Amino acid sequence: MPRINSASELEKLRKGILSVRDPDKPCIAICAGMGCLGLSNGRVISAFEEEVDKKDLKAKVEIRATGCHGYCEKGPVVVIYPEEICYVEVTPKDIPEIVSQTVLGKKVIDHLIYTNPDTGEKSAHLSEIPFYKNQMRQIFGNNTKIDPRSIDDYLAVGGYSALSKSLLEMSPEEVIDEVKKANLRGRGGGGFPAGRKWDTARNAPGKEKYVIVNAHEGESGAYMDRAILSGNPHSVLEGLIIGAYAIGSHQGFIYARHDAPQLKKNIDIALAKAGEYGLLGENILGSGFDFHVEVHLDIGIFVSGESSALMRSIEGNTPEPRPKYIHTSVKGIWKKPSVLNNVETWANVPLIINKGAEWYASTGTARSKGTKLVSLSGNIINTGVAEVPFGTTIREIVYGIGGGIPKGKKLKAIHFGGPMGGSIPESLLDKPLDFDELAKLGASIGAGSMLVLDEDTSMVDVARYFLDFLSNESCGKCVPCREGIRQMLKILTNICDGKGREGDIELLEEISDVTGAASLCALGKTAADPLLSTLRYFRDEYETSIAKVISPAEKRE
Amino acid sequence: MAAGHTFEPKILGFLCNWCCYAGADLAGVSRFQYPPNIRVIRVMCSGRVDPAHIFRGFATGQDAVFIGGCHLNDCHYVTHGNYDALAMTYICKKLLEHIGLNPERLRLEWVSAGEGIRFANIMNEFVPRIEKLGPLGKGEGLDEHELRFKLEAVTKLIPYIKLVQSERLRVPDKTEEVYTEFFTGEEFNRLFDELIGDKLALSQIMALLRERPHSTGEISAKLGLSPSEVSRHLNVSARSQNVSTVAVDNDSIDGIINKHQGKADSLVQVLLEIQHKNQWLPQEVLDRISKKLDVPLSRIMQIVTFHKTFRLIPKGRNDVHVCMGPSCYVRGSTRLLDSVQDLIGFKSGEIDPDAKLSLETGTCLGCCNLGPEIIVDGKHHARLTPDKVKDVLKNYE
Repeated sequence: MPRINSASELEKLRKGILSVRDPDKPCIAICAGMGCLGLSNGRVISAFEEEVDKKDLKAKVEIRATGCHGYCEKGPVVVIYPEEICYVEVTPKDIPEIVSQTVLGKKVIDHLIYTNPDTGEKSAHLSEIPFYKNQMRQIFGNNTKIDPRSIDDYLAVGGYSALSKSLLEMSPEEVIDEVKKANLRGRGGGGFPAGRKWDTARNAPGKEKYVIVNAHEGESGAYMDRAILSGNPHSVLEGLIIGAYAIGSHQGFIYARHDAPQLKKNIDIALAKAGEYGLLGENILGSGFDFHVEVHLDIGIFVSGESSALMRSIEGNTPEPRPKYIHTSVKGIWKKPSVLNNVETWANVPLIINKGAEWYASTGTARSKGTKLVSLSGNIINTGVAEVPFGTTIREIVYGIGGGIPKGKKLKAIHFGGPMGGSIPESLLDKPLDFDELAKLGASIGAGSMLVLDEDTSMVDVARYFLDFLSNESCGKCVPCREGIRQMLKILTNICDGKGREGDIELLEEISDVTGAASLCALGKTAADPLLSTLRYFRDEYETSIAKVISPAEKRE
Repeated sequence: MAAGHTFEPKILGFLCNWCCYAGADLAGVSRFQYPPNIRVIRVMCSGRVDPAHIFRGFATGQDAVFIGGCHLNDCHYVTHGNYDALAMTYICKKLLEHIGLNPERLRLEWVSAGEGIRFANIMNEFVPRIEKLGPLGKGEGLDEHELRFKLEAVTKLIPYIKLVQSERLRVPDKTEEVYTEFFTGEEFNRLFDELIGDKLALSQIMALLRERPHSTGEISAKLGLSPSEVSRHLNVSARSQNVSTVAVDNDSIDGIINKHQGKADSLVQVLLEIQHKNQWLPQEVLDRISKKLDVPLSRIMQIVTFHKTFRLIPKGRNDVHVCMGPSCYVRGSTRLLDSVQDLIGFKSGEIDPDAKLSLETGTCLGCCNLGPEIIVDGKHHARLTPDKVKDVLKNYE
């Protein structure tokens, strides 16, 4: 494969790929994401391959194992193109029928399509299914069309055109300007304006700079980063290279979890293929810009998702955060300016460059632009990854996309941001998905995990659960976090065990004041957030748990 | 009585010079009859008697030990040594219980110099009692070998027990009520189990292993401990280097270290690679890494005990992992974990005696649509309820 050395060569290659792809040729897209893998979709894939082989259809039908489609609850999911017929909960024994009826016969198989549990309505096509219909899948939508191991698939949907535009038609400053105008805010939980971060790094002294993809995704209940990085790695890679060009970096890092072998494999293949095509490495696209990427794995701890801890880990030390008197964009890995952004943030970059900042900023609210990937989990009917524009109300997400609460239970609260986030009660469900709005309510959006809690959940127990998690994950460096979390956990455990005492709530609030103000890093600072938000909206639950302890005799006094 | 061999108990007696010994002497002079099974050693104060003496007595063939002292608050010495004897006896009785011997074999009585008849009466009651209990060990169903190693285990532990007693099992006031209340109370039992019980089990395991290698199942049967407890003790002693477990060979360790040019910075990478090869990190391996990379062992322990990736217990042939992330949690993963633990008989972080299964819990792996789930050897078993657990686990050999 000869390297691509100019924009025109890239377009020629793209045209070439598209010309041999017949848009009417049936393509069976089977979701090979992590959720479906766990539902034995491997057998579905091999069953399809066998059947196509048996019926001698190899030349006429394409089988594609794609990245995560998003509808994890109904896996294994299969989409038949070009009609975009979507079959859910497919088993190997359905395969012969699918091949003969749908792929060849163009007929829809009734018992395999999605049925709305509330209305009984059936939806044959992907775009008709409520789960997908109510989303705006401008980043995630391509997942159903791309085999992550094939770079041609990505090129076929227009991939790397943003890279070519940036490197060959724009200056680094223009790229940063565009990202600033689009008001791209970090998707990892901080919501910090990416353009500003890039600016700082670009203007920081020093010739060696680094860019990093934070694919750690430690937030429990969040799995959309893995879905997008594993399903469409090139989209993230493209964004990374553009960012590197913008700040003047020639070395990039992808920091991923060690416990997702499929993810690592897909990243490695993507890097190799991109290098082969001249889209990575020396003299990318003939522009004179060099850029290399290394992959690093973590060692299984939550705190290594924190930016300064992550950088320490890349250096080879144990991940321990440091106080940010000097930002990591000025002094990061080996004290060089380093831009760390979340997977989703990087995936938004090619979109901004291709379609322009104005287009991008037309979606969303006044201060939160674009779309957000959310992972729905907990007591919800449709678990999966959804992409919605900022401004969508939480109610729309939970009921319109999520399908509501299983077993006919009532909704109690939605928890954002995992162990460092907060909950909002049912009464606030009409609030929009927005960085600042949710932060005001004490439940910052975090990385995008939405844990849905039904009426049977004890909010006191939820707060205790998250503190338990953090107490194991605290690095132990600073006293407020290490000791504060331990003491709060002790009090909460006592309350949960029915041993709560008068004054416990006030004590918890006092301790959380200290940890919030004096901790070294975000883990300690936000450790008490789940507790505080549950106190804010569910204080009566705490009070009843404590009141249970005071025996009648004492009350008589 | 009947002809033939009848059991004649051998009783060792420690009698205090001022009261009990005089009392026994008076019994003799007054011709009060009592069975002659007791061999008397005269000590100046009952408080002089040490657990080591008692267990040496048992180890050398005595069937019972008798301690006689002055009445409480009448001790000849200002230091009230008889209270010390009282405390020591409580502890020794518990020790006897723990190793499966009848605590009645140890007897403490207060006899004053003028109570000759009391001494004779006690002997007349004590000796038939021991006759009924039978020879030491045999009477409780222990064979000679078992008895020997159990007594050995206790004897080795005595210096530690005395330390624990002087630091944690002190009683503030020397009055009978306070002593009785403390030594028959909850707290004493709890402290004993916490401080001594574990070490005693470990000491017995060591005594067994000193003779020859044993399997976990054998140890569990001989000591009456559950396999999970045995494995827990073994882990503790493996970590303190007393017990050696199968390890990856030194050459491969050196090879991995050399690959990283022996740089101390690459400690984490070296640990990850060795872990990947050997599935877990035995103590000897950590020592070798410490030596070769010139990194203090404390630093290595800091890293391996903090990060969950590193295993310090061996992996079973099948690795069972229960997800305890928040989504699985609200869907009932705690109940699932309980049912798994009930079924396999041991807790997370441990391994069963035949190394068939090891169990651990972890936080969110990101497959929330499959929750609550358990993952065995990387294979997901999704959407489980406690009743389905048995069907899943029985397939694993």
